[in-house]
Amino acid sequence: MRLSFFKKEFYEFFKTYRFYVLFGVFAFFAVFNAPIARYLPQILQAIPDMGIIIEMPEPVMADAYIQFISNVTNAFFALIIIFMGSISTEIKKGTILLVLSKGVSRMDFFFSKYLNGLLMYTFSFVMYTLLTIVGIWILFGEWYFAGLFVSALSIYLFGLLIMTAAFSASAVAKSAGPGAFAGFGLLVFLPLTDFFGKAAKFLPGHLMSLPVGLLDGSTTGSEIIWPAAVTIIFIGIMISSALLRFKKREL
Amino acid sequence: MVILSSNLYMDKHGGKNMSIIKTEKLTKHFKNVVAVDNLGINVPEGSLYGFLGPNGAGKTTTIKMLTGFLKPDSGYFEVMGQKVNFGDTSYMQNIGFLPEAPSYYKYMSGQEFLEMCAHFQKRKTNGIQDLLRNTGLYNVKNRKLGAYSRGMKQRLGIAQALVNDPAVLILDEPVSALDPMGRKDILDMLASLKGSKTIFFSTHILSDVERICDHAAIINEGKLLLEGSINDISALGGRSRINLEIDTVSDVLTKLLNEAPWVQDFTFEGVQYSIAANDDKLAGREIPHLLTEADVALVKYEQSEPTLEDIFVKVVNG
Repeated sequence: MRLSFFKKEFYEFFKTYRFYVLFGVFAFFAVFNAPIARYLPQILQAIPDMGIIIEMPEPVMADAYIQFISNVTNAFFALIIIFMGSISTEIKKGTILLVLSKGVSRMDFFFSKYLNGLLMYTFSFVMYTLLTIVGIWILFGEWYFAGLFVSALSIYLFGLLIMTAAFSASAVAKSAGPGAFAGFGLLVFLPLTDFFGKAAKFLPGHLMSLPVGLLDGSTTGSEIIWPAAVTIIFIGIMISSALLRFKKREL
Repeated sequence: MVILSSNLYMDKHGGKNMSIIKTEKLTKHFKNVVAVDNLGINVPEGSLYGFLGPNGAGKTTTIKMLTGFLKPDSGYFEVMGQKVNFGDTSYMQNIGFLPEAPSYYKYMSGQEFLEMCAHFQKRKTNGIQDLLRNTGLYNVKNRKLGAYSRGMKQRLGIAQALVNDPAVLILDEPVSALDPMGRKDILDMLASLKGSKTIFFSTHILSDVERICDHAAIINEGKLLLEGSINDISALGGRSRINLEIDTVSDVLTKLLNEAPWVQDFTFEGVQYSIAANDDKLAGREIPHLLTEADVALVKYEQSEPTLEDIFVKVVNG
């Protein structure tokens, strides 16, 4: 791969503030995961009496991890918005013409963008996890449970699938719209596949329900293998078919 | 279609030069519209080649096929003797390309953009300051490209096309966005590269081609109408005309012109005459005698060559 284009893409993430936005959104939700879990009973009690009695158990560390699992979906919205126009915007503006006319191959162009995206997402997600752990440790005095790393990996792979869908669509579409449709569509649709009976355990949607099971001890970490493998295959298919289409695309 | 030169031509030393860009039966449709229709052009090595046509003639489509951004429906083309397949841009390493209305990364400065282009092409960046000076961008080299005017962007487009010191320059409407001074600067710059590089540029501005090109092609509705050297094309316009204005209407002068053997044809309206001569030098010597004989005074004398515009209008209108 031509490193000079990879470097340009890396530099661009900072210059156009996309990295700061992505990291900022992940960090924002990470910082609030533990406090929301820890202080939710007090927050609810502070709401003026509406004739409803809310009795909540004393918050525990698991509640904070539930926040960790559910709030990441909000950060995935930012992920989709940032990647849904990765290539289509360059084609629409015409900036791609000057880059490719300098001998940068379409493959280099495609993978430099994707790998930089992968790097930015991975960093943001790792920081999301670490900041959540630190918050939980500060507010609950403990942070570890047996399925923590498998849970994080499971959510990470789900996010990567969403990002790849948005990115791949941007390589074949004329505008950012199909990228948004692919990303948001999967984000909404995939968790519903968990209701598909026995097949559900093999599908990528299971990656978002698995962490809850790991948290309450109803499932084991080995259950990640099938949905993770299927997700990685899906990612591979999306990337390779988008690249093939992009290489044949008229600009 | 009139072809005034073949793909092999004799240079001034009598040697044969190959076409550096050659297309054969190049065709491209967009749905039911034929954008380029069986186009066959030959761009001689070292030439400054004007690719002329009205808006929508197929110039940009042809250039996009030559640069690997559009796939021809049929036909064949080669650049620098190498057959080019769609999607393979390796040959672009030796080519400088400027698209129509170039678009840039707004967060970069002009200098950063050129440095990036040099890095993409594995070139050193030490010639960039000269390029910035030559294109008149030195004083704004650190300004963000988002704040560049259209003219500045066009100049930067020329600079980026030259960053790899290419053997061939393919430029799509390189001076269309420039003011008269900017246009002159860029045309002078292209003219100064004549001979050392092959320059293929599309335009609908005839005077630009007339001013700097040594070869040209005229296309319309995707079809090649005319191709050849500027001298050969100019010859198609016919002889030059002598325009006279005299002080008073003279039937005698009209009669004398009718009888003069060196007059090919002439028209007149009142005191104004337009004369085509068999021999311009002879006409220059004879006209004063005729004026004396007709006893009229000369108010205006002017010799006009047929312009490329005359030829362009003639071939485009069939």
